Amino acid sequence: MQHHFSNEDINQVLDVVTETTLASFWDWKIQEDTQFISPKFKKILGYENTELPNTHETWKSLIHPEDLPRALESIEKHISSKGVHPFREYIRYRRKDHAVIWVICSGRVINWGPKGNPLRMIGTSVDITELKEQTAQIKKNQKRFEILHEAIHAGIWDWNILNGKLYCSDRFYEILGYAPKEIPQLYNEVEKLIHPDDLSWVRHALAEHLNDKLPFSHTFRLRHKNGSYHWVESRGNAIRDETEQPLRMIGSIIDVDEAQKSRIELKRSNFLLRETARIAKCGGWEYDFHSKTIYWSNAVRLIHEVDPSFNPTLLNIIRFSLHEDYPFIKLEMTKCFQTKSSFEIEIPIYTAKQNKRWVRIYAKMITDDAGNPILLRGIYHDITHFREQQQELKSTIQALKAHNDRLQEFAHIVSHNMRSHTGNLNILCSLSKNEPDLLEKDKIQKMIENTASKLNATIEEIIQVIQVQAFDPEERRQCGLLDSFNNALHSLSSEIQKSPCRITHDFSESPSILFDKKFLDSIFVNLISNAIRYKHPQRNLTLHIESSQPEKGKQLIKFQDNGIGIDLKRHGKKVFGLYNTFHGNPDAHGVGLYLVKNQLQALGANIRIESIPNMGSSLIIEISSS
Amino acid sequence: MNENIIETAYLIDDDRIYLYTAERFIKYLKLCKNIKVYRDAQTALNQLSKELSIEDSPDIILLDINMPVMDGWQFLEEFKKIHPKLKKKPTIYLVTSSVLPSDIEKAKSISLVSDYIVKPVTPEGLEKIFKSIKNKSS
Repeated sequence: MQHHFSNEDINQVLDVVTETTLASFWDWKIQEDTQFISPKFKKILGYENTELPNTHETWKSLIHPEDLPRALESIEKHISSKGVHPFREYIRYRRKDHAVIWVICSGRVINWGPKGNPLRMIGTSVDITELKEQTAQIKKNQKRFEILHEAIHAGIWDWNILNGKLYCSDRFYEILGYAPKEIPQLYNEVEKLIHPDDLSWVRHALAEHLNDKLPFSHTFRLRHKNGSYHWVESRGNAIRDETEQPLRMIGSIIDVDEAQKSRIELKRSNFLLRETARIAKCGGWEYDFHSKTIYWSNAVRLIHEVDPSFNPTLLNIIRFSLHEDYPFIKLEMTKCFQTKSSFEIEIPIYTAKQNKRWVRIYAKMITDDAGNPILLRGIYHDITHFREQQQELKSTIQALKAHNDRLQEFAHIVSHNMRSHTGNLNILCSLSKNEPDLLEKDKIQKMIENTASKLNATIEEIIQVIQVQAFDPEERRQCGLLDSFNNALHSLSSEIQKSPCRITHDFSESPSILFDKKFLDSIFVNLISNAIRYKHPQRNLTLHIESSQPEKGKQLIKFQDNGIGIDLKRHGKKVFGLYNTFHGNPDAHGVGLYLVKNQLQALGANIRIESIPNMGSSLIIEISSS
Repeated sequence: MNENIIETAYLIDDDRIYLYTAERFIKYLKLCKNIKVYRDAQTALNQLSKELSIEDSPDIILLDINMPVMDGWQFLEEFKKIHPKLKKKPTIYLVTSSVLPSDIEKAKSISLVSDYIVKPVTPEGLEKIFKSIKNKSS
């Protein structure tokens, strides 16, 4: 059945179409030069229906001048091709308010004259401005996106999960040193570039994103064409179907190689710095002139043995140093402030736990362009260990030097004494050989014997001294003073009987010392016999021997007599020297006190003398347990 | 004047053997007329401090360093004080068995000391010393 539309019907249909869609129409009667422009279209352009006359000229005037030639040309083509070439153009119109709108304009000649000339052409105009703007926006966004990726130097990848294809942008290849598409665009091929150490966790991360929707944003290594690995940061997002099944995953990679390598290097440097500081016991500090605050690194806190909550200030940190050092510290600081340079001091401190430490404090002044101080920045260095070693080294050197001096002196003195005896023997022998007088010869013979026995005695003494020098301090034992005292009196009994004397003792305060028994016996014998030998000719000898402990770790034994004494100004330096005698006493050998001093020194003790001539002497033995 | 111009020698030493041998050699070699022997420096100094005749004043002093009570150095210090008053200025030799470099240095630094002789002192050594003085004086 055929349905016929009346004119009225058609108008109604058209009305509906034009009301409900954006389409509007025009009807150009070419010979009459009228062109009906639907009120709807006029409204789109911002005009009332009556405002515009329905003429072809009106229509043309509404078209954007730049698009008019193209529009007319297209209509001309349509007509000259007798309707074969369709008229369909995107044309811009100008609204009454001068705004430009985009329109799809299409039309067709519906009536032809007998000479093939067009009589009537009708067409539609569809406002596609919104669509066009959206497209432009999309293009703009795309451009922006490209610029953005260009700016961050990102490579783009697009992975079709269903077929395994992986599209990579040119930049993606460039980052890895390849020409575009040099690597087949397949996931499996690209995956081969991932560093073996990173591969398994990257796969895991991808799976977590695809299955569990965890964000995919990771830094890993990809193999560069030159064989080295480059750090890249990659982010991606899956596109899923309506059942949340991932179809594609699109992402980017950024070359973060330098940043990552710097980060790793920084981490390494930080570690090294921290460890070095820990091992070197060295930490950083700062003083801010503006806020008047002090910053201490952890290492500095450790040096001071304060807890992390300790807040250093100028007032509380000065208290770690000794009071006597304040002027020195102040002076150095002032110098630094005045010269705006640096300062470096080495001072002892007492930590929060009252441990003594030596620190080297160094600081450099940092000033602004105008030369005003901003910061004092420097280091604290715990040099206790160095100081102790230095001290130890110093005392070792001193001990060695003293020992060496003693040995040298000993060698010279021994050679002196031996030489004088051997020299005499030599001369006496040659005298004796040529001596005709028997009596004289006999006298010389006696002298030879005498000298020989002196030489022998000298050698005995030397052996004794050498034994002392070779003594090992490890062999010290606790020795009772009273025991050695009694032994000495016993062995000196004949001398004591010869001259009346009073020898008293008091060992109650310090009854024993850490010493060598044999040496202690010998010291008592030597010092008591010395006192007897140098008693004052006008009075009987009184000798008092007393031990005491004036402080912890220190013991004294004092031998006080009323003998002839000694002029210390004259002989002080030589009292304890070998073969030094001062009184012309025929019994003096000059060995006794030398031996005593050596025995004491071998055991880390010492002896000194106080004396007033004609009044008496005090020999004081000092033993330090350290 | 006698052809032997060295009249008097002082020997100062605490070593009896040395004194005996040195005296014997000097006498045997006839190196001087008078020999005075002192076992300690103080006695010798006391003797020198007295107003001595030319004859009794020593031409030469052989002085030991290591002696008790007053050693050679102390003797020299005291001797310096009386030296200007002496009519005859003696030549002083230090005679010692010490080979300590410090002793030798010290001896050289004292202008009164002519030389330093290391023991044992032989007849040849003594002859040389006495002859050098004779040459110096003539």
